[in-house]
Amino acid sequence: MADKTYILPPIKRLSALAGQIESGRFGNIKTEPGIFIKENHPLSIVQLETREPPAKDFLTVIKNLFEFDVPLSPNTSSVSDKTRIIWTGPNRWLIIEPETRDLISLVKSQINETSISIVDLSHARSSIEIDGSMTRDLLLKGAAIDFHPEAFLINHCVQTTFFNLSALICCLDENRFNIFIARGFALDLLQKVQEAAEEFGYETL
Amino acid sequence: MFSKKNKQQTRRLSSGGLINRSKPIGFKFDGKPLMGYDGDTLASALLANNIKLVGRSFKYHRPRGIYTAGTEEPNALMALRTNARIEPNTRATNIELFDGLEAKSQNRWPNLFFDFMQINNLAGPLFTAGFYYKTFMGIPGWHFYEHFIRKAAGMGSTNLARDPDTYDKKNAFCDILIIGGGPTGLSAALTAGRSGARVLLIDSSKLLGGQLIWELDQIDGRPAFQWIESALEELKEMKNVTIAQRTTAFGYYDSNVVNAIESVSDHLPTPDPHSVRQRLWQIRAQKVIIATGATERPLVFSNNDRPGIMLASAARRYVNQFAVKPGNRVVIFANNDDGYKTAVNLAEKDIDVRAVVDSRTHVNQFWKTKLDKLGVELILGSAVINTHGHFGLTGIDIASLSSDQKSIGSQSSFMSADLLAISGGWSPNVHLYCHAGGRPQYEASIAAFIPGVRSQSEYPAGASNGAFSLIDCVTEGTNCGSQLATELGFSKTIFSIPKTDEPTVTPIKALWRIPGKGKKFVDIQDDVTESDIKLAHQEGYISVEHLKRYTTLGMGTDQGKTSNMNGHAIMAEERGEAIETVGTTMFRPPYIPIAMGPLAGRDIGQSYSAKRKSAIHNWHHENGAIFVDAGQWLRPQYYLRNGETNTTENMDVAITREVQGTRGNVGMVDVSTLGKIDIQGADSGEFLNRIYTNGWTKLAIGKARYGLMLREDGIVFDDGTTSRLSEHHYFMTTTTSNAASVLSHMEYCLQIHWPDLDVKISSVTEQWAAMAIAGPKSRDVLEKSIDEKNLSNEALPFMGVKQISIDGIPALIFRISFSGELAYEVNVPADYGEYVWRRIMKKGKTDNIIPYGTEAMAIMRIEKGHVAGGELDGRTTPDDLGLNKLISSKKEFIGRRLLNREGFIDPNRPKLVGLIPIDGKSRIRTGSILVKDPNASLPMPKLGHVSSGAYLSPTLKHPISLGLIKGGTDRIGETVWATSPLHGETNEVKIVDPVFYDKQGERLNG
Repeated sequence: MADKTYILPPIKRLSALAGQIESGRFGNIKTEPGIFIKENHPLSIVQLETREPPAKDFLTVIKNLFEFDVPLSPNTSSVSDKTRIIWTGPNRWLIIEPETRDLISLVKSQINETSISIVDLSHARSSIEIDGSMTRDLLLKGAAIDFHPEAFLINHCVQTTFFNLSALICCLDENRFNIFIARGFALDLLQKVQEAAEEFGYETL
Repeated sequence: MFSKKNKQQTRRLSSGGLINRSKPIGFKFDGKPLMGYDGDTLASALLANNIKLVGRSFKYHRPRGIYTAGTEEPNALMALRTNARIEPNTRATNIELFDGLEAKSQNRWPNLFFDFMQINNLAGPLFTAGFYYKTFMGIPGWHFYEHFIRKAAGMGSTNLARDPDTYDKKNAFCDILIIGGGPTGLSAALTAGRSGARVLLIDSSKLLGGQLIWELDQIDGRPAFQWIESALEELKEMKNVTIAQRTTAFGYYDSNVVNAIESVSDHLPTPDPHSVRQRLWQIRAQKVIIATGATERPLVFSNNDRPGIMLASAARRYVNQFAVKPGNRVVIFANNDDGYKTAVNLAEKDIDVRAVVDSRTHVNQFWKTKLDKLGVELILGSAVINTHGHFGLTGIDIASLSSDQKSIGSQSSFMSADLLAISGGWSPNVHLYCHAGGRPQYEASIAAFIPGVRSQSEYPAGASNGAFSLIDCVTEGTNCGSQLATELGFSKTIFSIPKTDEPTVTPIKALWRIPGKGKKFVDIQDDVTESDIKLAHQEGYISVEHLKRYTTLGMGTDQGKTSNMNGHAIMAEERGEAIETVGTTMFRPPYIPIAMGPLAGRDIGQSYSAKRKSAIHNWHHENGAIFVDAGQWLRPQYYLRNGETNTTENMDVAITREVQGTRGNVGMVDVSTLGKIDIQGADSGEFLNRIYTNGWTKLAIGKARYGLMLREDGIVFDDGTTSRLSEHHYFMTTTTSNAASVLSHMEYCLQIHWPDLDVKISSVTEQWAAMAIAGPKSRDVLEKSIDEKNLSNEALPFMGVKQISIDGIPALIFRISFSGELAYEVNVPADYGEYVWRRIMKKGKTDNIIPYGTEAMAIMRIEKGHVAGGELDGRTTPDDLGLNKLISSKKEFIGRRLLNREGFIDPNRPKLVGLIPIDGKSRIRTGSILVKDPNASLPMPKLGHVSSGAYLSPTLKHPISLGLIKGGTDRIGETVWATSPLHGETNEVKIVDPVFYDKQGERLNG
């Protein structure tokens, strides 16, 4: 039985947070909101893992596919307008982009090497994006990671416990971060982020 | 909140102080309305209102007054606020006054002035050190006495109502953490900050400056507060410097982790909306400057605990910072120059300072001249030997002190006084240094323990390092900040040390106790006296650690801040050894009492543990599911229908309905919680062969197989099915509870044992929503639901796996069964889970499809004799569970080598059986012990235990259980007793085959 080709279904994907994010201003409303919260959905997420440090062929394939190099430094990511590739472990990456194409099939079609595993995690992770002047302060409430702008640079990523949940945190911009969480914990994380953001005042989008 | 009318703050000075007289604040003490000002502490406001008596002592219930002006306060412990917000044992000296504050004194009944338990003071000789051990602990009935003793000797009590406030946590990182914002800390922050290092400066107070806030010192010819202002101005301009006020470091842990409590809203009646009461900081720093200052010590003499006796520096602080006159007739008693500073300070504020009593025989001319000019009598070579008064000091007795300080003159003189300000020297605050692992060393020149060798990257500086003069503090701070910044690679900065105007110091002469009779309190909070220490010594408790435990010296909320040095020195004198030989106890975290709230943070109540929800959760919720925790997952336990309330009877109805509906027609259960692991790579089959007990190399593509996994010691670890999707691609399922540990085990094996194997694994549990459709009509329902329309035995045989689509959605379908029925498991990408579930429910409506929960699922698996968590309990072998057929003899696998060890092949090992109650109706509790004769004499021989139970099998119409019993299936037909002594239950049960239903497995084919 060969792996069947993945075709984007016509049915709309239902996020773990569907109906759970009420738009508006919350928490402290005496000041401008320090935090903006939104969900990124639907996403295509594909995990690649090579057995050895990536060979030239592999790097070339990735470059041809996404027009940038796969990140080789731990806890960093490479990005284009559409796609972000995150280093998540030795010889392991996540390719993430808004779901506009059949990413897993695309990747599989280009990589035929059996020693490279390709796993679809598009539905396995939820993504909460936080932005605003207090974002790094909020992150410090949940994770024992130094989020100072000089220590945690744009495109840096970290896998850590965030409010006691396993999370992948990625810096998109000066004060804009994406938090990837196992789908089943998404609502729990959202509530924790909202609680932590109350004193700063937050807006959900 | 209370009346703003000034209630005659009779002890308030007419001018001065860092208080805002235009902001009067009403508060209550023991129900009495009083007034203070913004900027007051509760203690200063009480003193302003001439309230001297604020509490009763711990053991003897002696009247006690405000003794200090800071964190070290041993006496003025209050219950703050009311009802659910009540907080006992708060120190009045640290409480910022706020409007509507309500404080109550503690440890007294019925009130402060008439305390019934003051009778303890008369029975004082009875309550010596070791009182508990010598009396009640040795005689029967301790549990009866304990209640009364605890009530008589104790501190505040709390309220069990839930705290309505919230607490927060945060992490912080910096290059240099500076603890303490006094002259040392500010100086260090300036030089470190100028270098560009990331500096975090924390201070426990609202106002930075430490002691300089209330001292009259000058720096560079200007009042010290001006220097503070300019330092703060500069620091606030630096983007690399963060200042945290009202934040107290309370613990220094490994790897330079310092924990601190930020009192976010303690100075407010209630936290602002959306704010928290307190916040726990966990700070990670490369270098830590400890600039925590020093604590003044009391002197030990008879009746040194009366209200009206306080530390000399505290008296000065009340005058200068709070414009409060702590006494009308003041005497100073000291063995060091600090007493003179207080005397001059108070006298210059027109307070009647009658005398300075100095145990030393010499003092420098600077102070002599000052006292002369102010008309303050100087009594050298003498000591206060006793005090008078009850609820407040009325006078003192003074006598000459011999040069060796061992005896006092036969003549004493009385001096009227209502305030005795005492100073026995200063002890550096070495607490955080000790937490870091440092061991303080005794420094005779200042009669105190100072930091010694560094253990981590902690750098004590200034008064906390034994450098008490202002110039020394500023110099050490400046140099330390610069040095550490340089060590961290930041640029060197040019700086100059400011100048101060301090007189030269006459050295302290250590005076640990003053001869004389009467109660001489060493630890004023725990009512430990000099005689207690002598008794401990007499009885052999001569180590400082034993001294602490035997007498309680250094315990309580203040943890010996004012008492340890004196107590340890007295023990040294009793032992006739040097203080450095006797040593000191080590301070442990926390430096100040910490409430449980900030430690728990937001992880309380429903947030205590994370809640994990399947992709189909909302449907379950809408359709009457009652949820049960399965690890962190929330799973439907059973479904109630419209009109059914959640009662035991309705639960039984629901479960019966679900089992019968599934066995009779078709049922569907959410199994998304099962662990799912994606396995890829050329050696995947070989890898499975090694971690499972059975063979895997011949598994065909498109087939699933049940697998058993052992721990290395041969105990069953987990079970599940693994399917081969393509040549080098497998899909494993694990039990819900073991999903993470199986993945971790596999990762460990690949990285440590077999890095040569080309295998990559990844958790895909959350990628797939999974649902099991079971029952004779399951095929019909699914054929209506899926795009392929054909699930015949030929198209998908038992243990077959297929990739299909459902309304265009890709899906994996497995022909496997946990219920024993014709069954399928359908996996779809999680975001489609709810859609597919709804679709199947809709398509199955005409077949009377029913959702079922974990209860029905468990009953059906017990009916089939399938093992699950109750049997895979970390104690069972494959043979115990009747799974020997899964043990391959042709290969190696994890756990094989230990399967034949003696204990595992013992014929007496309990083995899996079925159990049914003889009466056909009694519920057999899981966990019950199986015995031959419930009336046998103890200890009763145990035959086994009940591992899983269904109190009603809707299929068989009677309760059924699985259990493990010695002899196993050889005992089928015998009866034994299942007993649960904890619940008082004993039932006779019959041993039967563990497969209760459809032993031939015919229903698997529908």
